[in-house]
Amino acid sequence: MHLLGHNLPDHKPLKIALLTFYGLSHPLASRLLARLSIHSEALVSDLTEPQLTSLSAYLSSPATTAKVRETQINLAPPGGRALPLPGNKSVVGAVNKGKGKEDPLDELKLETEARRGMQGDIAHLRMVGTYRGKRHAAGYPVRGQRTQTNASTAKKHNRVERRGFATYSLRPCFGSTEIPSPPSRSRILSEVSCFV
Amino acid sequence: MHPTSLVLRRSTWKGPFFTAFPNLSQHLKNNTPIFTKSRACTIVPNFVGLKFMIYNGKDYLPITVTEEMVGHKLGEFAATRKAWSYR
Repeated sequence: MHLLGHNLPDHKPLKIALLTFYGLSHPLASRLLARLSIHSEALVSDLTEPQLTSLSAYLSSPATTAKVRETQINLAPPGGRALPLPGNKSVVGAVNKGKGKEDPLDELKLETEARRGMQGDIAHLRMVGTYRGKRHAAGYPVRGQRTQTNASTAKKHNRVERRGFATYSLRPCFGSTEIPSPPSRSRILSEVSCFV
Repeated sequence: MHPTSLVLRRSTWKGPFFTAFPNLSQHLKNNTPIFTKSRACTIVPNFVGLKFMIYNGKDYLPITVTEEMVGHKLGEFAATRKAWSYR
């Protein structure tokens, strides 16, 4: 089955087939299936028409598709009063607050956008003149791995204009040849502002 | 930015690790470099425009801090290894 320019093999589980999209990982793919209420082990061939439309609607523009509404969990039995459980007042609110509790699907970047973000980060390291940027430019491992032997993966992939590959199919992408722009000043400041 | 760098980073309540350099404003005014060995010091926004001489184990290397460097460490900009090449 073809979806947004990708070939999803019919015999594969959907959560595996979705990995052809650059930017969708294993955990994110199963999260996405849960959000669209598709069974986690469903095969690509099992998809119904409405499921397919909701899936392609999300994948074509992840940020703009409708977010899951917050609903208060009502623990009252029908005709009875609410159970006096501790913290029942804002069960949903408590779950959604705190670090790392935002839904990563809301601000997911896919395909070209994700590649551009990744290349922008590398270009920033290179432009500022960090050691990591130099390692990217030289095509060597970035995080202190050895280079006397091994390091073949780094030599294959690492460069300033790094091409991104989806985890599922190692297929080169020829779609993104624009020069990546480094992250904006406001983005850097917002990432740093939580320190200061 | 890599997602793990957000998840596995230093606790927010500690704030960034940085060295308190004395006479920062004077260095900024006189345009004199600060000689330092604290490579682990995070570059905070009020370092912008300052000149640093960062120790790499042998020499002090000159660095002028720009806005984009905020959030990195001082040591990232002074390489400790010699770039190798054929003569």
